Amino acid sequence: MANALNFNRREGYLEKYGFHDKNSYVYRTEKGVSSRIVEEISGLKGEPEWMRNFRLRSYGIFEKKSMPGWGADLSGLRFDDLYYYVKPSDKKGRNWDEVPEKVKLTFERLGIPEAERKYLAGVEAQYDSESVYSSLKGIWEKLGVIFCSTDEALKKYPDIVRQYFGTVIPPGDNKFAALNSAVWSGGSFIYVPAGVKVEIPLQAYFRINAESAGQFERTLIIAEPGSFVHYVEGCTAPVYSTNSLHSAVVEIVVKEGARVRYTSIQNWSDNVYNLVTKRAFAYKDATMEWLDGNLGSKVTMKYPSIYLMEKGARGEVLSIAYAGNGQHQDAGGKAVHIAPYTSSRIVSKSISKGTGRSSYRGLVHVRKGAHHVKSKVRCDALLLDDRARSDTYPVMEINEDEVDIGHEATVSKVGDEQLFYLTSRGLTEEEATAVIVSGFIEPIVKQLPMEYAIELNRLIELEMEGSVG
Amino acid sequence: MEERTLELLTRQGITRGAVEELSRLNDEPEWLRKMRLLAWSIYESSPVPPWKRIDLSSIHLDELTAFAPGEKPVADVAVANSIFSGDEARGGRIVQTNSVVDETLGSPLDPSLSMKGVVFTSLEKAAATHPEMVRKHLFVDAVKLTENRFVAMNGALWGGGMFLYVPPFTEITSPLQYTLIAAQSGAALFPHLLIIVGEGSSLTFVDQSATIGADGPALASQVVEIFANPGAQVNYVSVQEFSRTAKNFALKRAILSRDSRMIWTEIGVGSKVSRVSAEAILRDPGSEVQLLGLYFGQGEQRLEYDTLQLHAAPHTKSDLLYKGALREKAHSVFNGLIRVERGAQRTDAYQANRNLLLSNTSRADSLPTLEIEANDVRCTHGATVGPIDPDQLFYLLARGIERETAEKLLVLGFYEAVLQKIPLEELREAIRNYIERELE
Repeated sequence: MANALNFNRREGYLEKYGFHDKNSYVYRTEKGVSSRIVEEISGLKGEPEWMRNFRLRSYGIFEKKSMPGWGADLSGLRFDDLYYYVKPSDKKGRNWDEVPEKVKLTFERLGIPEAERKYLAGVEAQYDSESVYSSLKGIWEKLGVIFCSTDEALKKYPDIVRQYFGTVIPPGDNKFAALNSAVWSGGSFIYVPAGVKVEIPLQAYFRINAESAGQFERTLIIAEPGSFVHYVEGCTAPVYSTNSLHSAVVEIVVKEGARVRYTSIQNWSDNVYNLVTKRAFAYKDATMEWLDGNLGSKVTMKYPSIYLMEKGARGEVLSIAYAGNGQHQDAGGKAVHIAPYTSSRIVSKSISKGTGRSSYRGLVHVRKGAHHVKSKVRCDALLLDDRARSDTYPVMEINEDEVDIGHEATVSKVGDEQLFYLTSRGLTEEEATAVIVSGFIEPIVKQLPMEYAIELNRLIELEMEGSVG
Repeated sequence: MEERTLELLTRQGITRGAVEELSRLNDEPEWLRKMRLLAWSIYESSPVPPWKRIDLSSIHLDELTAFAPGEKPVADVAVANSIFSGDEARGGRIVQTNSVVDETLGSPLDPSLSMKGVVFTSLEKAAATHPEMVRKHLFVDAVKLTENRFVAMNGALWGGGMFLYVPPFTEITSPLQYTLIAAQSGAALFPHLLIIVGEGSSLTFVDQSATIGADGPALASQVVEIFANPGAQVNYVSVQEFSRTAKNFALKRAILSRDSRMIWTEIGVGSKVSRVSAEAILRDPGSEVQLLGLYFGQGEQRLEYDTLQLHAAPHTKSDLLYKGALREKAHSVFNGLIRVERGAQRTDAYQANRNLLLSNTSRADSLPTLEIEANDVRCTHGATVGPIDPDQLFYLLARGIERETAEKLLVLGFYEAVLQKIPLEELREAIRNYIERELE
């Protein structure tokens, strides 16, 4: 048992657990991407003309845009080697008995419910939550809340989708946003009417009939004035993917007095390039909160942004990153203050272990006229090994004088005194390190819904095992 | 013949011909001529630097002259007007006007120091008198010809310059100074400073750039190479007070050997556009650097500092504090990097950049960066941008102090934290007076 618990999903992961099966999809496009493939995707989905044109225009931009000249090493990425659209089958993909014992044990340790485990292991095509979902669905519908896949929304609510789609993140924003705009599939669409407060977090896997955890997800959230919604994407448990590129776009519009919280814990397998563009527009007195966790993937580049468009808007980014052997987490946050009397706060905590590298990359931009802006950025990094690496790349561009802008960062290792204190109280060095690490990330973890916080803590503990000696 | 060459040279633009004529004029040894020509070919093949935050398009190289003769009469006036008169340089002083070092303008090295073997002369002269030492250090270890276009230009066209060698275990108590005076508009100046401080030696050195009589320089590309040998203590102070039309680019790099210590102060108030790279390489264990910066921008000035605290060995320490106040349409950029190389354990690094915006049209960009590849380290950085604290202002106003005076006091107070760390009393006072004058 003890040995089995020393599950390290970073080592030889694909060979051991990458049990991908050949026939679990009903249709997929051929390898590579071209305008023909983009048209094919749009055609298969039976999309309206404007979306087809949007995709084609985006593809043109993707072709023209160069790769980012900064950030993580993306030289291993081969655009021609990928499938850009795979329609999953509804049938179960594989047998629960085929799932390796170690993976099952990880689920056990994380305390993941039975039904969810099957979904995560690829046994079920969707998380079987029909019973929970239908009762919740009734409540949401009564309030006028729309929660469905973006594909479905395009069919059912074309006017709302058309009004907002691509307005927060235009295809020309960056190469990967352009790619997503050309080949997007799946993702969530949420519309919350004015004054409606959705008390229970909306979770991606309460959504049925959708290609969740897609490769090129496209999420759009509209919060009308005075509303509130908390959306939770992904989960803390490892997600197995045979796709080597995940490139999502998430657009959020937070109108006057509304509040949106977006929580995502990314835990892709270690073959994945995770290159995501997330941005929210926050209007008068609105609040936008990103809680962004990055644990998995080979390379992640993700900087959730908030554009503070009108007076009184407030934004917060809480970012947590864990980089194990061979991983590079290039994460952070951006706050763009366009209007006066706006405030933002970015808190980042990162842990690098083995040969892992975690980078904080952030921007605080105060435009001309945006006076009385307050912004605080705080980054802390913990290095657990002498081969680990931590970088901090904050950028502050301040064009206005009546502002209060601050940035602070520290990089350190686990303190000898802290270790000594805990080991003198009978903890092993390993346990003590794990305790210190969970204390380090506590300020962010406590913001998570409880079940997530518990999962995340267990996961970090799991990661820490075997980290000493 | 020399007269003729000089005349030819002063009419030359930035060309290969200018490089050859300059070398001929100075009657340089073959190795140096070759180095200049190599630098020229590097210059020609290197692209315009990708400095996003600086507009290089306003520099028209074809309008510049590569060499400007020295000007005697104005030199004294310049000294009187500048922040730091140079009277404090009791140990010796070298004055360069335009492209030429004129020994009659400076003051000679203290004879007791020359007896100890200290060499303090123009770099041109040192290339003839101490060729081995110059050849061993010039564009070898600290700064490479290939760094960027402006550095290659300096390698090809440096003129005058300064060479300072302090033999081991020599304590220099009186400051030494190098003053560069730009006295001709349209000139491009390429000063090069080579400072070698022997084992266990110590000194205070002031590096000053000023303008007199005319605008400019149209372009200055400065290179400073500093070598602190084991246990050496170097106190380097740079004061950049070119006229507010100048375009100034400088690459300064110091290599710190075992247990050496450096206090490095950059003061920048001049130039229209100035980009100074101040890079400390902590190469061996026990080395330590303190980087201090003080900048004041007004009008449409654009002041950029690129700093590097490179920890290449364990048990090294660096501490940076850069403070700047900006008014009118001034714009500053602080781009600082703390880099801790793999294996540089027990590093202690700190970096702080504080900006005070005195107008709503001024702008401050701050990019404090950390790259850490060792785990047993303590690295912290912080940056702030904001206006004068309204509470502090209120406090002073409530005590009957006029707004203007109160603001002036608060700006001076803001700078005081840096000023107090500058280990040269005369300079501290001179800077206080200068800021006060400018704020009138």
